[in-house]
Amino acid sequence: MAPINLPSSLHSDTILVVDDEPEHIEWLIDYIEARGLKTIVVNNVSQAIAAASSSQFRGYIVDLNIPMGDWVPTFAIPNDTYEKYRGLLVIKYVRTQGNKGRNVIAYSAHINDLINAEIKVLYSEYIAKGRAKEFKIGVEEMLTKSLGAKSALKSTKKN
Amino acid sequence: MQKEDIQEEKEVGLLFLANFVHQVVNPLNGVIGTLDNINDGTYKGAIVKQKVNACRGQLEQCVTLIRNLAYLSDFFFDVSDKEDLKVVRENATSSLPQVIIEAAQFFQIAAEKKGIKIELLDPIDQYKIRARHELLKQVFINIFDNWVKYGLKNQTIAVRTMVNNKDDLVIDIVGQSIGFNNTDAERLFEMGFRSKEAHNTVAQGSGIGLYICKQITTKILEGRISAVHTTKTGLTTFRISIPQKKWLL
Repeated sequence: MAPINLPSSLHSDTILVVDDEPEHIEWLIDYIEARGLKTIVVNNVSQAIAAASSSQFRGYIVDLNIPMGDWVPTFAIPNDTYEKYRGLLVIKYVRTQGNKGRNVIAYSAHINDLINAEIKVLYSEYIAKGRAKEFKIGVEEMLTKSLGAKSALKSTKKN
Repeated sequence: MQKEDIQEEKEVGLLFLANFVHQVVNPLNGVIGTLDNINDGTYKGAIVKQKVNACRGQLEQCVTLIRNLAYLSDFFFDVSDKEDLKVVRENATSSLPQVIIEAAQFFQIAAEKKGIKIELLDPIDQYKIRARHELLKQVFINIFDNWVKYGLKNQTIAVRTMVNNKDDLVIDIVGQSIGFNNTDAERLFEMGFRSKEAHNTVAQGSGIGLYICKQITTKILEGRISAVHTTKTGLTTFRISIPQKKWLL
């Protein structure tokens, strides 16, 4: 299996939400859908990578504390932080596919230096849980700015 | 205690705290987000009432977790040598059907979302247990909480009571779940232990609920608690056995 699979379809009106306890983020899904976008919710690294491998999404919102599912790493795991915060694996995957950092948001119950450091390396966004207003401001750009031709991956442009 | 043991205990404690924080922050985050959606008009009309009810469910989940912490210290009450406390606990009795029904109601909203029903098969026999109501209720709350998290969708969890040939009152809670390896069955009741299957479903959990169940069952009820999973049928059974001196009908 290739380390990274490039998606063949584009869902420019859909946000991929990755969380193992989606009942606690129903409010976020409702908020996004009230703004006219669609959401797809998956629960672990395996499902998220499968979804990202087949489709490019307008944005990716990823909880860092998620289970692995049955995904077997197809690339070298950079360090222990990825073992502890497995959502980083999803973020690394979609960023390596070529998705823009501003369209990839990580969140978790608490932030620490390990997470901060990796988020910087991956050039993505981070929001702490429990701050609904900040979350909404954080996703605003994703909701209001269309993906644009420059942000679409080459593999999805063919279709 | 050896230096390595102290270090290991410290690490287990820190891991437990981190998991506990995560478990409380998640439902609170849900409540905050829902309130913000009501505030900014994302939710309006009839749905607001439904969402407020959902908030109540999430806050109740936080209360369950925090109460578990409180129960760790509450053992003082039930194991203390203080004479005035002994009188209260020795005279305490609780109605088993009432305790089970109240604990099931606690999870009604969350269970409905997964299409899960919790049914007490014999609500008529009024078994009385020689233990405080709140303490006994916490056992069932923690077991049902596990089922809401790790039970399969669209099923009925059966709670069956019977008296065995040793006159133990046996309570079986039976339903389908994601399962676990039976070699881990004993360890499910250890503080901080979570099965591989549980980890694969929900990344973090406090690992405290079943530990509390065991403490209450063995130390207060002087009984036993066990769990078994049958891969063939997908059925998991939690069994609580209470010796005759601790119950009456």
